[in-house]
Amino acid sequence: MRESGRESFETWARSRQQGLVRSAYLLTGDFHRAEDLVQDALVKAAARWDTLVGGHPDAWVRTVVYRDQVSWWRRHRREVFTTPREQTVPPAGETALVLRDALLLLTPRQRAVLVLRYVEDLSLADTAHVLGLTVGSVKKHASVALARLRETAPELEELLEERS
Amino acid sequence: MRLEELRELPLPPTNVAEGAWDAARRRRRRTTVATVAVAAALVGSTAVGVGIARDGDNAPSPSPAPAPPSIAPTSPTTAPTLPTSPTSPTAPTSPTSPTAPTSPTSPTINPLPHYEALARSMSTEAATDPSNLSSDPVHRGVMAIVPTYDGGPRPWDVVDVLGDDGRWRYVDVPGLEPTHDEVGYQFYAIVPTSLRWDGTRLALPQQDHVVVVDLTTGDYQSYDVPGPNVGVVWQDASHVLVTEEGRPTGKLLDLDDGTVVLSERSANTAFLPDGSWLTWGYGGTLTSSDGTRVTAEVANATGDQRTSPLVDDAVAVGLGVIKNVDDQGNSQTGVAVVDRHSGKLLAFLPTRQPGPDSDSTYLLALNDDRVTLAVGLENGSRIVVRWDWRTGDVTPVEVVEAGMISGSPE
Repeated sequence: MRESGRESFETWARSRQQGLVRSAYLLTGDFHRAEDLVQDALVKAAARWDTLVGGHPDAWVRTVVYRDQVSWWRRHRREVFTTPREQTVPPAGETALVLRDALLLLTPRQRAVLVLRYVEDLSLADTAHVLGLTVGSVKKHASVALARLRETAPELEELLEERS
Repeated sequence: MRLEELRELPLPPTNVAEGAWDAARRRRRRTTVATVAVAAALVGSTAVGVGIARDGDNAPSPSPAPAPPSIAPTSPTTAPTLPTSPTSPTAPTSPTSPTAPTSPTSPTINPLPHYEALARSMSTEAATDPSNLSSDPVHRGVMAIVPTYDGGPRPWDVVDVLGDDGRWRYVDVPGLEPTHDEVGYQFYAIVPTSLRWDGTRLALPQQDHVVVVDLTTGDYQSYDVPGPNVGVVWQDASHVLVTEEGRPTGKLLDLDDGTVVLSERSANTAFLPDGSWLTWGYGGTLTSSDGTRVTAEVANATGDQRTSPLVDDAVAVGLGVIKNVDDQGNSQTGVAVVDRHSGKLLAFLPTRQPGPDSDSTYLLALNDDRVTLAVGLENGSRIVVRWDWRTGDVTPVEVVEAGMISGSPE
């Protein structure tokens, strides 16, 4: 971890932080949890910046965020299952918030697939790599997730077109 | 709007990038200090054994490792030890030649230990506060478990690893799931033979694939292996025998090129470092790679058992069952030690009260005359005990909050 890498790391991190937190927020539904996830991933990235800087730091840090979220969910899912979900009523007209809340009704894996595919704009293969799934599993999760969104948020039906 | 427009979801500005560099430097300094402390603790400490006892070129490194700080003392001078009360006379044993095979006229049959009482005398080891393996790999894994949580559902697909530094890691491989068989039974993501003998790799049977994790880096590789895979046994450093529930034989996975070929070996097979193997098959037949076949004087407890036998040059250790031990016709299940060349029963340790229920004891390690095994407790935890089959002494090692264990806390 050479000090000479500080400037390039901080320039890169500042340019990516808002997008990373947005994706993490869509994964978790909790802004503070999203910031924690991304901050921890950036600290890990800084620690190995010497090797990341010449490669694909975006892909690496994204994978860390998703892995850490999966880890957190697995450790806490008992509480997740037993804690009643807070019902938030978004202001009228804020479709994005309706969509966000609908996403939170999905399983974490379904949500991760949709965020990677539609928000991060990853290919099927790249999504499969990040989540450790086969391409077929990604397709299946995406299809089921969209069907569930249509069911739970029918007002969004025209927004939810499946991508090939 | 469309789903893609969530990219423009308005959020408060964040500045999580600030301070990340300095935080990483602080974290690195702490790691350096901790490494120095561990190195100092290595001096004079005892080695931590792992897995099946193997010797030869592939034997685990004898380099010393610090005793895990959260594990209860295992010194035989302090841990409670059951009295030796074999119900049958035992031939004298020679403490000066512990690995030499003996030919007792009658096997040593231990009384049933009171495992619950033993457990109450021990501290409990739980996978507390694990860090993620991908960012905090181990030098060597000592034990892998599927943890249990009081009052909650069993997480069949959560795997934690105890490193030789005494700290727990969570195996953060995404997508792990329990395998289900055709009738809906589900199986843990690890089996007792998942951890490689050197503690550097962990093999995880999954539906239609097998995941192999490099515990020293946190990296993992997924191999396509069609079928409801429920068992893995390391044949050597680059081959894993993969087994399915209900199928008598398995598939051999080559980790170098990912190829899978059918194998005639079953999950009841132990592989030795010299390339030989021994299968403790249905009906108690011991088949060796040199072509010899003998019948053990004890029936196999669970048929295609999910815990492979432990084998050395002289003996084979497996789950066994002695039938009709009472007037109700009940069977006694336990751990059997047999002469691998004659099938003669040498010793037997009961693991539960006689009855019709199946046994979920796991065999963990064989070191000279000492067998390390994990026995299920009423609360869902497991007690790890060390059984000296020649003397009959049973020494509790640890209570572990785990549904499944691979490796050994010793």
